[in-house]
Amino acid sequence: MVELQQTTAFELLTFDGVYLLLPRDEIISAELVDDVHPSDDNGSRVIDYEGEEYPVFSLNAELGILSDIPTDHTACVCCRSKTDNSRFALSCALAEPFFLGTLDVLQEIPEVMSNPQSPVQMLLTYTFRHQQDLALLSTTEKMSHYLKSGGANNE
Amino acid sequence: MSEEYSTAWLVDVCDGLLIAVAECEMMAFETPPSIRTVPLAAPLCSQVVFWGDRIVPLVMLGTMRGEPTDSTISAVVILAYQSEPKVPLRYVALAVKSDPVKIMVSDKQTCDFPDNLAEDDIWGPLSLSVFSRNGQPVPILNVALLCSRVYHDSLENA
Repeated sequence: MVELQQTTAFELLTFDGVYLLLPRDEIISAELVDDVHPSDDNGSRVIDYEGEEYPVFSLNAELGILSDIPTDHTACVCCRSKTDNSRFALSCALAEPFFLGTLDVLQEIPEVMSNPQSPVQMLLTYTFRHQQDLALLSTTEKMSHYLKSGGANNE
Repeated sequence: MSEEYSTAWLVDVCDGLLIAVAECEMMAFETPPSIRTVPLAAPLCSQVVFWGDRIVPLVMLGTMRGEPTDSTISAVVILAYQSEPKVPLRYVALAVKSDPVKIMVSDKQTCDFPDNLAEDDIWGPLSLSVFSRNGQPVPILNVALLCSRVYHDSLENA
């Protein structure tokens, strides 16, 4: 299991006002969303990387799964879990490396806010253009499980 | 025998409904608070407040009592509590309608729980005790219970 508390290198995915951090060592590649195509098997959206298909998902601000890729999404980040080898790709407006600074403190989701269905594991204060904002942290394993279960749309 | 006084803070958590918290629990008063929503968080506590470098869960007792969830939050108090003895302090933000007021409370002000509040799903379990101030009953908030998963589960499953 990937321990977020011991992770310092992340990929920062930005979409619909959300800042999502995933461990960088579970990021396989960042591709262009233009390369997304329907799967030969069932027509669902996939993207190819090194001979493998990654199912493509797009999320909104509530982390609900969208039926279409938003027009401002230009990147597609391919992820593979180090824990269970599951893989998926998330479309986003921006994907960039993010390294925790010495002053950055990851915070557990407060007990009173916890929801076992949520892939969000921890929170971080993220300063962007001199303004404090909130970054959500997850692991590829948790996110993969969430996406495969249908996300918030399925609750 | 001399009268014993304690210091407390009086806060208005929803229109006109006052509660008290112990002086040692009050950390800060933030106005306007910087609030963000955490997607997929528990329905009764889905927002956080930035307090310095900390990210503090926001509890809205007004919403729990039926106020619209979109009611504007212009101020919060930051409260400290311990979920059990000898564990580090935790923090919670409580939405308030006005500035908190520091008061002195005497043991002699202790009063019975009003029947209409004792049966209330929220006030009944959340009150450590009640005192009378200007003829009005004021519950003393059990902050640790307010922030417990057990309490919120009981409300969500009610």
